Amino acid sequence: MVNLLQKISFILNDRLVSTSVPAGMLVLDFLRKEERLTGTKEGCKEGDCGACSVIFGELNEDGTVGYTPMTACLMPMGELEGKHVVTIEGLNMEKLSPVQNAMVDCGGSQCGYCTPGFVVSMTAGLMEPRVPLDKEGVLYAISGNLCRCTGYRSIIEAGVQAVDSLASRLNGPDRIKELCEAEALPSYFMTIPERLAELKPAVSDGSKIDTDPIYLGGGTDLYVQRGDEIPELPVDLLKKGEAPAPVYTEDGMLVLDARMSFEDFAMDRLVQESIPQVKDYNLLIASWPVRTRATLAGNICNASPIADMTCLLLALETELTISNAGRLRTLPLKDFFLGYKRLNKKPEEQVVRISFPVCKPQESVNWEKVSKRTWLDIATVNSAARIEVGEGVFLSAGFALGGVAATPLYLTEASSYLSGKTFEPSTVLEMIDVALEEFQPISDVRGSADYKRLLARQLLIAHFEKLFKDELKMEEIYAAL
Amino acid sequence: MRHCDSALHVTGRSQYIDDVPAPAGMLHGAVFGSPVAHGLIRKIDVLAAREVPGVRGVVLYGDIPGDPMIGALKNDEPLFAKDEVLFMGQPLALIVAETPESARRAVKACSALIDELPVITCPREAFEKSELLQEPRVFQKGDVETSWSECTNIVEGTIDLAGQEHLYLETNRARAIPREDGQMSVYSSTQSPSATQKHVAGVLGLPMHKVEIDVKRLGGGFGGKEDQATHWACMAAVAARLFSVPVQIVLNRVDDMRMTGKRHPYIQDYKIGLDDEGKILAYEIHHYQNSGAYMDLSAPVLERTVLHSSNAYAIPNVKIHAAACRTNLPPNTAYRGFGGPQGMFPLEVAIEKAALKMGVSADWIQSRNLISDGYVMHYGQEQEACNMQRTWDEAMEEFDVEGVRARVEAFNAENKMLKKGFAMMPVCFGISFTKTFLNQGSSLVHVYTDGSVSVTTGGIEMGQGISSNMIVICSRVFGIPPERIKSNSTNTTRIANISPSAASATTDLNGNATILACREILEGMQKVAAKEFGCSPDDIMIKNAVVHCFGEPTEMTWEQLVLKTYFSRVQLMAHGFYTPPNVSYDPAKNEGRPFHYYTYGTCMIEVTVDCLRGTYKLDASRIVHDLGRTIIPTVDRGQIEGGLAQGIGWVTLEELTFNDDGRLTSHALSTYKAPDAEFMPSEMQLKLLENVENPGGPLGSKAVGEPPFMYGIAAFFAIRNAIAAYSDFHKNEKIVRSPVTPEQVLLQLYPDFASAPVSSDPPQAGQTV
Repeated sequence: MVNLLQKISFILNDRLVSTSVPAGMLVLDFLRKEERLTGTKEGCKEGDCGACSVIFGELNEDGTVGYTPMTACLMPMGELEGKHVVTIEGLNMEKLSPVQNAMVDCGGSQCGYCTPGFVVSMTAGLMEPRVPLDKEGVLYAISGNLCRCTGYRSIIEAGVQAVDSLASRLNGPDRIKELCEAEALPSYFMTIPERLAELKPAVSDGSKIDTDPIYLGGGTDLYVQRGDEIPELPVDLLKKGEAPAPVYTEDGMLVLDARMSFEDFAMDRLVQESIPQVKDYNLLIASWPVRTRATLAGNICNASPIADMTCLLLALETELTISNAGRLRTLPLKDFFLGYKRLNKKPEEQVVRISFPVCKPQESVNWEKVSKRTWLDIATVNSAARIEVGEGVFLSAGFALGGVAATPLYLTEASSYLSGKTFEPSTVLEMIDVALEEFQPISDVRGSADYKRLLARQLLIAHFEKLFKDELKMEEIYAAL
Repeated sequence: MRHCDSALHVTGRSQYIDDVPAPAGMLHGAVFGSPVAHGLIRKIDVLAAREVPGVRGVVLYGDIPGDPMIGALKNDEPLFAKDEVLFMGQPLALIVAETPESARRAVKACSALIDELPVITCPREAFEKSELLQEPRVFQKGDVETSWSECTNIVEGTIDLAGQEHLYLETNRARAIPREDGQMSVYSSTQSPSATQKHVAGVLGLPMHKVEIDVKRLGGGFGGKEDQATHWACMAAVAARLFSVPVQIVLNRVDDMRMTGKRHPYIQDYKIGLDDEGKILAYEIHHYQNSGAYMDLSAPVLERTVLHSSNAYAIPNVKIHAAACRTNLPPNTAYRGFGGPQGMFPLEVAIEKAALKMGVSADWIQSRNLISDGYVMHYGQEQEACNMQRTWDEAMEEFDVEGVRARVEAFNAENKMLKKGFAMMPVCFGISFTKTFLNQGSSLVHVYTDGSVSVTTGGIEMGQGISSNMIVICSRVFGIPPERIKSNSTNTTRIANISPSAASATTDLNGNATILACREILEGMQKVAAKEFGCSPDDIMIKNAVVHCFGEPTEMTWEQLVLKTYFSRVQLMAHGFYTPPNVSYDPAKNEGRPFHYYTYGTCMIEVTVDCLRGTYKLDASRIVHDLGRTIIPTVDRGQIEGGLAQGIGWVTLEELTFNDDGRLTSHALSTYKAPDAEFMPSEMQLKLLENVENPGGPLGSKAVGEPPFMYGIAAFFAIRNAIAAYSDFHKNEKIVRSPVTPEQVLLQLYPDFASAPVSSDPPQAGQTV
C-alpha cells in the first residue's frame, strides 16, 4: 500500500493546524474524529442535507480572504493546504451572534441536529457580499440545508431577523471587518488574511506515487459514488494549486477553464452576457455549497445522463480541449459520449478547457429543468435550447435533452429541422414530432418512461414559451398538446 | 421562554451519542444486511470480512447470549436472521472493527448464499395469499348495507397510498458500555428506553435491572425510533458483551433507509354514499396495510387507522375492514400520526370524488358533516368540548375562503397554463395511547440545597420540546425562574417502565406527573414556611423565587426556604406518577373511550400548478388550531409547522420506490426528497383558537405533536383541484395515487398523451446517476 499521508497546514477556526493525513480524507471525518469538533454533523455524507456545513476561506490576490460555504462531507483534506476552515465552533463568541440569537428567538431549532449547519450557512451568506441582505438571500444561503423538524418558517424568519439587525452596518467594502465590528463574527477573523499570507505552502517530499491517481475536481459526485474508497487511494486534486484561469474570448469563442465551478460560471460577467438567465438556472442546480465545489469538467466527465451543465453546454455547440500530458486535442462535446458512462477519452487524459461560441444578437438561449423538488434535486429531465431567428425564419438551433437516454443527448434531427423554416407555431410542433423520434427513455427512480417522454416534449415547448412568448402564438401550440 | 436547548444547538455544543468522547478501546459495528428480500439462508460467508485490517470479529445469530428474538408487540423478529430472510437489508451479521471505516469495508467483503423465494411488495397480493400478521377485522356502526339504497350519490374507488421515510437528521445509533458484574449501559437514540432496556436484557440474558438505557436527546425521531432503535442498541450490547469493550453502531444514511421500517403504505377500497343535501349517510373502507416483514407496531397503527377512519365527520353508517398484510419490505412502524393519516386520507378522496359527481365543492360536503358535541364516534366515544365546527368557522371567516374561491376561479379563467387550487382539511385527532396501559407518566424532581432543580421524566427530548415544557411546568408550580431548573437525560435507572415518547402524549403524561412531584415537594416546603411565619401552609406561595405569605412578599427567598426545608429534614425530592382518568378501550370490540380528549383544527392550502411543466408551488397554508392553553408558544408553533411540513411532504414529494424484488431504490437523500425551505408555502398563517381550556392537559395545554401532520393532506387536494381546472383527469383516473409528485401532475394534466411505442432494444443500464 502506498503511503498516502501528506503534510497539510491550514488555519482551523483560530488555530494553526499541521497534520499528516491522506489527501483524499474527508474534512468531515477529520473535524469530528481527529479534532473532536462535533458541532459539524454527519447527516447524509453526500452533500444533500448541509448538517456538515463549514466555511472555507481563501486568500485573494488583493490580500483579503474570500469565504464560501462547503459541505465538509464532499471536501478532501488535501485542499485545505494554506486555507482557512471555519466550523460552528469557530463562529462562537462569548455572546450569541445575531444569527445564533435569532435562531433561538424565532424557534428555528428543535432537535438541533441540523442547526449548526443552518447557522454556518446563514453566516456564510452574510460573509459573501454578493448575497442579498433579505429573505431571498437567506434562502440562497440555506439552499443546501435540510431540517426535518421546523417546517422552515421559523428558520427563514430567523435569517431575516439577523439580516435586518445587521443590514445598516454592512455597506462598506470590507464585509468581514464589518461583521467583526457588529459582533457577528469573532474578531480573530481580522487576523486571518495576515496569518494565511504567512502560511508557506508545504514542500512536497518529491516522492511520486506510482499508481494512477484519481482525478478529483469538486468531488461532489465522486465522493457520493466512492466515498468509502477515496481516502485510501492516491488522488490528484485538480482544484489544488493554481486557481482556474479567468474566462476570455478568442475567435468568437468563450473559453473557460474546465475546473471552473458552477457558481463561478453563473456569476461570470462574460458568461452572463452570452447566457443572460444563467443566474436563474443556477438556483435550480444543486445548492450553493455544492455549486461552489462542482466543476464543469467534472459534470461532463461524470457523464451522467441528467448532468445539468452538460445539457446546457451541449446546446451551445461546446468544444472540449483535452490534454494528454500536455498534448492537446479538441472535440465537440456532442461526440464525447459513447454510451452510458463511456467517454471518448483515455483515463490519463484530462479535459482542460471548454469553449462555446459567444451568443450572437439574434440568438437566444434557454435551459429548463424539472425535478421532484425545485432546489437541490437531480433533474428528471432537463433541456437546453439555442435558437437563432431572423426575418421570420428560424436560422439555426441546437437542442439538448437530459434524462431520456444513456447519455446527455444532443437532438441532431430536431436541431437541424428548424433551420430555414418559417417562424410560426406549426414549425415548432413539427420540430417536436421530429424530436420525439430521437429518444426512448427508460423508467427508473426519477420517473416512468412515459413521464420522461411527455416531460421532454413539454420542456422543448417551454423553451419557446420562455423565449418567444410575445412573438409566437403560444396558444396554438398549447391547443395542440 | 424558548426551547431550552436552543442556545446549545446554535453553538454546536449539544451532544448526541457520537459527539460524546469515546471511551478507551471502543470498537465500531457495521451491519451486513441481506442482499435479497426473501429466501432461505444456506450460508453467510464472513471469512473474507474477518481478514479485513482492523476487524476484531463478527457477531451472528448463534453468538447472541440470550433470547435472539425481539419485537415491540411480539418477539417475532430475530436480531440477526438465521434460517430465513424476509426483507432486503435484514441484518445477517454485525462486523466489529477498530474503526467504522474498517467495519464498513468488511461488510462489503461479506456474502450470503440464499435460496430466493417469491417476493411480495403489494399488500393486496399479500392479503390474497393470506400473508397476514393477524386476523382481518371488521368494525361496523349502523348498517352500511341497507343504507346504500337511501343514498342518491354513491362513489367508490381504489387508493394507492404511499409510505414515508422518517428522515430524522440523526440516523439510528447506540453506544453500549459493559459495566461490572455483567451489567450493561447503553446510550441509545431511542424513543422507548424501557422497550430498549427490555430487549437488551433479553438478548443478553440479563434481568432488566442490570441494563441501563440513557437518552439525552434525539436528532429527530418522528416514530422511527419508537421501536426500531432497539435493534442497534441490542447489537451494540451483544458485541460489547462478547468483546468486553464499549461498542458503538452508527448507521450511515443508506443503511438507515434500507434497514428500517417507515410509515405504512396502504391500498384502500372506499365506497361513500350521500343524500342530495350533502349528508354522508354511509362509508365503507377496506384498509390493506402494507405491514412489512414483521409485526413491529403494525397492529396498533392499524387500530388508529380504524379509529380515525371517519376523521371529523358524523357518519351514521360506517363499516371498516382492516388487514395487516405481511410483505417483504422492512417492518413498517410508527410515524407521526400512527395510522391516523392513513385513516383520514381515503375519506377525503371519497369526498372529493363525491363532490365531483354531485357538482359541488368538496368543502361544501365537508362543512355539512362535521362532528359536534354529543356525537358518538363509531367506536363509542362521545364528543365533549368539541371545537371542530369552531375551527372550521373561524378558518372560513379569518381566511376569507369565499374570497379565495372567487380569486382562484378568476385567475383560472384568465390563465391558460397556470392554474390555482385550494383545499380544506378538517382534523379531529384523539389523544392517548390506544393501548390503554401505556397511558402512564413518571417524573422525578430533585431540589438541591442551593435551590437548583433537576427534573427527570420518562419523556424523550427529540426536538419536540418536552424538556422545555417540563422546565416551564416546574417553574410555574414552584414559582421560580426557568433558569433554576435543568431537565435531565431520560434514564431507566431513574425512571422505571417508561412508555414510549409517542402518541403526542409525552408532555401530557410526564407533565402531569411533574406537576404532582413538584406539588409534593412544595407542600413540604409550605409547611416549613408556615411554621416560620405562623400561618397555614395554604397561605404560603412562592412567586419569582420569593416566599409570599397571605399574598405579600416576605424576606425569605426560594433558596433560603429550600435550605430551611433541608435542615428541617423534610424531603426535597419526589416522584410523581400520572395516568389519565377515564380512558379505556377494548380493541377486540373496537369499543370504549380510547381517548382522553381530542385535538381539533382546520387547514387551508393554496397552490399554483404550472400546466406546461407539471410543477407546482405551494402559495399558502392557513391553519386554525385548537391548542388549549399553550405552554411555550414558539415550541408549540414549531410542532404545528413541522407537522404540517411532514404532512405536505408525505402527499407531494416524498416517494419511496421499491422495485419488484423488494429493493428500495430511493434509498438516499439524492433520490428521496423531503421539503426544503424553498418548497414550503411562501405564506404560513397560524391562528390559535382563543379561550380554550383543556382540563386534561398540564397547565390547560393540548397535545400537539401529531394532529398538525394531517393538515398537509390539504396540499394533495389543492394540487388536484388546480389540475382539474386544466384537464379532465378524473374521468380516466382508475386509482388515486399519493404522493402527487410532479410526475403524477404532468400525467394527469395530459392524460391522453400517447404512450411511447415499446422499444425493441434492451433497456440501457442506469440512465440516472
